[in-house]
Amino acid sequence: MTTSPTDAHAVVAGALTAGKYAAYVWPAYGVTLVGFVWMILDTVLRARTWRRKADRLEQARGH
Amino acid sequence: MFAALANPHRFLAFSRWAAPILAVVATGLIAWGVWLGLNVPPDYQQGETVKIMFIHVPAAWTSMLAYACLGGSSFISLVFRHALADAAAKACAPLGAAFTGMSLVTGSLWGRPMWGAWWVWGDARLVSVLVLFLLFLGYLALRASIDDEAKGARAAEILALVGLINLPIIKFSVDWWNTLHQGDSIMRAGGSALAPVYMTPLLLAGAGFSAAFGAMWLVRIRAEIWRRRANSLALQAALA
Repeated sequence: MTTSPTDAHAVVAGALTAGKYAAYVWPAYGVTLVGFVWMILDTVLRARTWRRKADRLEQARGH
Repeated sequence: MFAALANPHRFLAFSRWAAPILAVVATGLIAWGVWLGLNVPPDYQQGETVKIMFIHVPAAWTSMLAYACLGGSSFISLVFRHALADAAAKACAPLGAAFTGMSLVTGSLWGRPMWGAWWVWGDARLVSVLVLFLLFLGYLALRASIDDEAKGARAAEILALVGLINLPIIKFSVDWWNTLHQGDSIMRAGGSALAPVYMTPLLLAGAGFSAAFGAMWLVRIRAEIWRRRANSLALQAALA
Protein backbone atom coordinates (compact mmCIF):
# COMPACT_ATOMS: atom_id res chain seq x y z
CA MET A 1 0.00 0.00 0.00
CA THR A 2 1.40 3.40 -0.94
CA THR A 3 0.49 6.92 0.08
CA SER A 4 -0.08 9.35 -2.78
CA PRO A 5 1.31 12.90 -2.57
CA THR A 6 -2.27 14.14 -2.29
CA ASP A 7 -2.90 11.88 0.75
CA ALA A 8 0.36 13.01 2.39
CA HIS A 9 -0.62 16.62 1.76
CA ALA A 10 -4.01 16.01 3.38
CA VAL A 11 -2.38 14.37 6.43
CA VAL A 12 0.01 17.30 6.93
CA ALA A 13 -2.80 19.82 6.35
CA GLY A 14 -4.90 17.98 8.95
CA ALA A 15 -2.07 18.11 11.47
CA LEU A 16 -1.61 21.83 10.89
CA THR A 17 -5.28 22.64 11.36
CA ALA A 18 -6.08 24.61 14.49
CA GLY A 19 -9.24 26.37 13.33
CA LYS A 20 -10.21 29.50 15.24
CA TYR A 21 -7.58 28.73 17.89
CA ALA A 22 -4.62 28.95 15.47
CA ALA A 23 -3.65 32.32 16.98
CA TYR A 24 -3.00 30.53 20.31
CA VAL A 25 -1.77 27.09 19.19
CA TRP A 26 1.02 28.15 16.80
CA PRO A 27 2.55 30.86 19.02
CA ALA A 28 2.71 28.21 21.76
CA TYR A 29 4.64 25.87 19.44
CA GLY A 30 6.77 28.81 18.30
CA VAL A 31 7.73 29.76 21.86
CA THR A 32 8.64 26.15 22.58
CA LEU A 33 10.77 25.95 19.44
CA VAL A 34 12.56 29.21 20.32
CA GLY A 35 13.15 27.90 23.86
CA PHE A 36 14.70 24.70 22.57
CA VAL A 37 16.85 26.52 20.00
CA TRP A 38 18.15 28.87 22.72
CA MET A 39 18.90 26.02 25.13
CA ILE A 40 20.68 23.93 22.49
CA LEU A 41 22.76 26.82 21.11
CA ASP A 42 23.71 28.16 24.55
CA THR A 43 24.63 24.67 25.76
CA VAL A 44 26.70 23.69 22.72
CA LEU A 45 28.48 27.06 22.38
CA ARG A 46 29.28 27.18 26.11
CA ALA A 47 30.74 23.66 26.03
CA ARG A 48 32.76 24.37 22.88
CA THR A 49 34.14 27.67 24.23
CA TRP A 50 35.30 26.27 27.57
CA ARG A 51 36.69 23.09 26.09
CA ARG A 52 38.83 25.11 23.65
CA LYS A 53 40.02 27.43 26.41
CA ALA A 54 40.93 24.49 28.68
CA ASP A 55 42.72 22.69 25.83
CA ARG A 56 44.65 25.83 24.87
CA LEU A 57 45.81 26.43 28.45
CA GLU A 58 46.68 22.74 28.83
CA GLN A 59 48.84 22.91 25.70
CA ALA A 60 50.49 26.16 26.84
CA ARG A 61 51.40 24.52 30.14
CA GLY A 62 52.97 21.60 28.28
CA HIS A 63 55.34 23.83 26.31
CA MET B 1 27.21 4.12 39.68
CA PHE B 2 26.81 7.64 41.13
CA ALA B 3 30.01 7.23 43.18
CA ALA B 4 31.89 6.21 40.04
CA LEU B 5 30.54 9.20 38.10
CA ALA B 6 31.55 11.57 40.90
CA ASN B 7 35.04 11.50 39.42
CA PRO B 8 35.18 14.26 36.75
CA HIS B 9 37.31 12.14 34.37
CA ARG B 10 34.89 9.23 34.59
CA PHE B 11 31.97 11.63 34.19
CA LEU B 12 33.52 13.16 31.06
CA ALA B 13 34.05 9.67 29.59
CA PHE B 14 30.47 8.63 30.46
CA SER B 15 28.76 11.81 29.25
CA ARG B 16 30.72 11.78 25.99
CA TRP B 17 28.58 8.90 24.70
CA ALA B 18 25.52 9.28 26.96
CA ALA B 19 24.67 12.86 25.88
CA PRO B 20 24.47 12.13 22.12
CA ILE B 21 22.41 8.99 22.74
CA LEU B 22 19.97 10.94 24.92
CA ALA B 23 19.82 13.69 22.28
CA VAL B 24 18.90 11.20 19.54
CA VAL B 25 16.29 9.52 21.79
CA ALA B 26 14.87 12.95 22.70
CA THR B 27 14.61 14.05 19.07
CA GLY B 28 12.80 10.85 18.08
CA LEU B 29 10.39 10.90 21.02
CA ILE B 30 9.54 14.60 20.67
CA ALA B 31 9.02 14.31 16.90
CA TRP B 32 6.82 11.23 17.36
CA GLY B 33 4.86 12.65 20.28
CA VAL B 34 4.28 16.06 18.70
CA TRP B 35 3.28 14.53 15.35
CA LEU B 36 0.72 12.26 17.05
CA GLY B 37 -0.37 15.22 19.18
CA LEU B 38 -0.99 17.40 16.14
CA ASN B 39 -3.19 14.66 14.67
CA VAL B 40 -5.48 14.05 17.66
CA PRO B 41 -9.20 14.79 17.25
CA PRO B 42 -10.36 18.09 18.78
CA ASP B 43 -11.36 17.81 22.43
CA TYR B 44 -15.13 18.03 22.97
CA GLN B 45 -14.68 21.01 25.33
CA GLN B 46 -11.36 22.58 24.38
CA GLY B 47 -11.42 22.05 20.63
CA GLU B 48 -8.08 22.38 18.81
CA THR B 49 -6.42 24.09 21.79
CA VAL B 50 -5.83 20.58 23.12
CA LYS B 51 -2.80 20.54 20.78
CA ILE B 52 -1.07 22.91 23.20
CA MET B 53 -1.20 20.17 25.85
CA PHE B 54 1.55 18.17 24.10
CA ILE B 55 4.11 20.90 24.68
CA HIS B 56 2.72 22.65 27.76
CA VAL B 57 2.44 19.60 30.03
CA PRO B 58 5.85 18.09 29.04
CA ALA B 59 7.49 21.49 29.66
CA ALA B 60 5.81 21.68 33.09
CA TRP B 61 6.86 18.11 33.99
CA THR B 62 10.44 18.80 32.87
CA SER B 63 10.61 22.05 34.85
CA MET B 64 9.74 20.10 38.02
CA LEU B 65 12.22 17.35 37.09
CA ALA B 66 14.88 20.04 36.62
CA TYR B 67 14.14 21.53 40.04
CA ALA B 68 14.29 18.08 41.66
CA CYS B 69 17.73 17.61 40.00
CA LEU B 70 18.78 21.08 41.20
CA GLY B 71 17.66 20.30 44.75
CA GLY B 72 19.28 16.84 44.76
CA SER B 73 22.58 18.15 43.39
CA SER B 74 22.55 21.03 45.87
CA PHE B 75 21.95 18.61 48.75
CA ILE B 76 24.87 16.37 47.69
CA SER B 77 27.08 19.41 47.20
CA LEU B 78 26.22 20.89 50.60
CA VAL B 79 26.45 17.63 52.57
CA PHE B 80 29.34 15.88 50.82
CA ARG B 81 31.11 19.02 49.52
CA HIS B 82 31.41 17.48 46.11
CA ALA B 83 32.52 19.80 43.29
CA LEU B 84 30.81 17.80 40.55
CA ALA B 85 27.47 18.00 42.36
CA ASP B 86 27.89 21.77 42.54
CA ALA B 87 28.69 21.84 38.80
CA ALA B 88 25.55 19.74 38.18
CA ALA B 89 23.40 22.15 40.20
CA LYS B 90 24.80 25.18 38.40
CA ALA B 91 24.32 23.53 34.99
CA CYS B 92 20.72 22.62 35.80
CA ALA B 93 19.29 26.03 36.70
CA PRO B 94 19.25 27.79 33.27
CA LEU B 95 17.59 24.76 31.67
CA GLY B 96 15.03 24.62 34.46
CA ALA B 97 14.29 28.32 34.05
CA ALA B 98 13.82 27.87 30.29
CA PHE B 99 11.45 24.91 30.66
CA THR B 100 9.46 26.74 33.35
CA GLY B 101 9.28 29.84 31.14
CA MET B 102 8.02 27.70 28.25
CA SER B 103 5.42 26.14 30.54
CA LEU B 104 4.20 29.54 31.75
CA VAL B 105 3.94 31.09 28.27
CA THR B 106 2.29 28.07 26.63
CA GLY B 107 -0.08 27.81 29.61
CA SER B 108 -1.01 31.45 29.20
CA LEU B 109 -1.67 30.90 25.49
CA TRP B 110 -3.88 27.94 26.41
CA GLY B 111 -5.63 29.79 29.23
CA ARG B 112 -6.67 32.85 27.21
CA PRO B 113 -9.15 31.08 24.89
CA MET B 114 -10.33 28.62 27.59
CA TRP B 115 -10.63 30.88 30.66
CA GLY B 116 -10.80 34.27 28.99
CA ALA B 117 -7.65 35.41 30.83
CA TRP B 118 -3.93 35.31 30.08
CA TRP B 119 -3.11 35.11 33.79
CA VAL B 120 -5.03 34.68 37.06
CA TRP B 121 -3.21 35.81 40.21
CA GLY B 122 -5.61 33.91 42.45
CA ASP B 123 -4.83 30.55 40.85
CA ALA B 124 -2.54 28.50 43.09
CA ARG B 125 -1.15 26.32 40.27
CA LEU B 126 -0.17 29.33 38.14
CA VAL B 127 1.36 31.25 41.03
CA SER B 128 3.29 28.23 42.39
CA VAL B 129 4.80 27.63 38.93
CA LEU B 130 5.71 31.32 38.74
CA VAL B 131 7.43 30.88 42.12
CA LEU B 132 9.35 27.93 40.61
CA PHE B 133 10.50 30.20 37.77
CA LEU B 134 11.58 32.86 40.28
CA LEU B 135 13.45 30.22 42.33
CA PHE B 136 15.49 29.23 39.26
CA LEU B 137 16.22 32.90 38.50
CA GLY B 138 16.97 33.59 42.18
CA TYR B 139 19.43 30.69 42.26
CA LEU B 140 21.25 32.04 39.20
CA ALA B 141 21.20 35.64 40.46
CA LEU B 142 22.47 34.67 43.91
CA ARG B 143 25.38 32.68 42.46
CA ALA B 144 26.30 35.53 40.14
CA SER B 145 26.02 38.26 42.76
CA ILE B 146 28.63 36.93 45.21
CA ASP B 147 32.24 37.36 44.10
CA ASP B 148 33.54 34.40 46.10
CA GLU B 149 32.39 31.50 43.91
CA ALA B 150 32.31 28.97 46.78
CA LYS B 151 30.27 31.26 49.03
CA GLY B 152 27.90 32.08 46.17
CA ALA B 153 27.43 28.38 45.49
CA ARG B 154 26.65 27.63 49.17
CA ALA B 155 24.09 30.45 49.40
CA ALA B 156 22.41 29.43 46.15
CA GLU B 157 22.32 25.77 47.19
CA ILE B 158 20.58 26.62 50.46
CA LEU B 159 18.01 28.61 48.47
CA ALA B 160 17.55 25.61 46.14
CA LEU B 161 16.97 23.28 49.11
CA VAL B 162 14.43 25.63 50.71
CA GLY B 163 12.67 25.89 47.35
CA LEU B 164 12.11 22.12 47.21
CA ILE B 165 9.01 22.68 49.35
CA ASN B 166 7.44 24.26 46.26
CA LEU B 167 7.37 20.97 44.31
CA PRO B 168 4.60 19.27 46.37
CA ILE B 169 2.79 22.62 46.49
CA ILE B 170 2.74 22.71 42.66
CA LYS B 171 1.65 19.07 42.44
CA PHE B 172 -1.17 19.31 44.99
CA SER B 173 -2.19 22.95 44.41
CA VAL B 174 -5.13 21.84 42.27
CA ASP B 175 -6.35 19.56 45.12
CA TRP B 176 -5.73 21.90 48.05
CA TRP B 177 -7.25 25.03 46.54
CA ASN B 178 -10.02 25.88 44.10
CA THR B 179 -8.24 26.73 40.87
CA LEU B 180 -9.15 27.65 37.33
CA HIS B 181 -6.41 25.26 36.26
CA GLN B 182 -7.83 21.82 35.65
CA GLY B 183 -7.28 19.15 38.28
CA ASP B 184 -4.96 16.18 37.97
CA SER B 185 -6.04 14.05 35.05
CA ILE B 186 -3.08 11.66 34.82
CA MET B 187 -1.46 10.78 38.17
CA ARG B 188 -4.59 10.65 40.30
CA ALA B 189 -6.46 8.16 42.46
CA GLY B 190 -8.74 5.99 40.34
CA GLY B 191 -6.55 6.10 37.25
CA SER B 192 -6.04 8.53 34.40
CA ALA B 193 -8.98 10.53 33.08
CA LEU B 194 -7.22 11.12 29.78
CA ALA B 195 -8.30 9.15 26.69
CA PRO B 196 -5.51 6.94 25.21
CA VAL B 197 -5.58 9.00 22.01
CA TYR B 198 -4.30 11.95 24.06
CA MET B 199 -2.29 10.00 26.61
CA THR B 200 0.10 8.29 24.15
CA PRO B 201 1.44 11.46 22.48
CA LEU B 202 1.58 13.21 25.85
CA LEU B 203 3.73 10.49 27.39
CA LEU B 204 5.97 10.32 24.31
CA ALA B 205 6.51 14.09 24.33
CA GLY B 206 7.00 14.05 28.11
CA ALA B 207 9.70 11.38 27.84
CA GLY B 208 11.27 13.30 24.95
CA PHE B 209 11.40 16.61 26.85
CA SER B 210 12.96 14.80 29.84
CA ALA B 211 15.56 13.11 27.61
CA ALA B 212 16.36 16.48 25.99
CA PHE B 213 16.85 18.00 29.42
CA GLY B 214 19.12 15.08 30.36
CA ALA B 215 21.25 15.48 27.22
CA MET B 216 21.65 19.24 27.64
CA TRP B 217 22.31 18.89 31.37
CA LEU B 218 25.16 16.44 30.74
CA VAL B 219 26.73 18.77 28.15
CA ARG B 220 26.41 21.78 30.47
CA ILE B 221 28.07 19.86 33.31
CA ARG B 222 30.91 19.02 30.89
CA ALA B 223 31.18 22.74 30.04
CA GLU B 224 31.33 23.61 33.75
CA ILE B 225 34.10 21.06 34.34
CA TRP B 226 36.12 22.58 31.48
CA ARG B 227 35.44 26.11 32.76
CA ARG B 228 36.83 25.21 36.17
CA ARG B 229 39.81 23.46 34.61
CA ALA B 230 40.50 26.51 32.40
CA ASN B 231 40.25 28.89 35.37
CA SER B 232 42.54 26.68 37.42
CA LEU B 233 45.12 26.48 34.61
CA ALA B 234 44.93 30.25 34.05
CA LEU B 235 45.58 30.81 37.75
CA GLN B 236 48.53 28.43 37.74
CA ALA B 237 49.95 30.22 34.68
CA ALA B 238 49.54 33.60 36.37
CA LEU B 239 51.31 32.42 39.52
CA ALA B 240 54.17 30.71 37.66
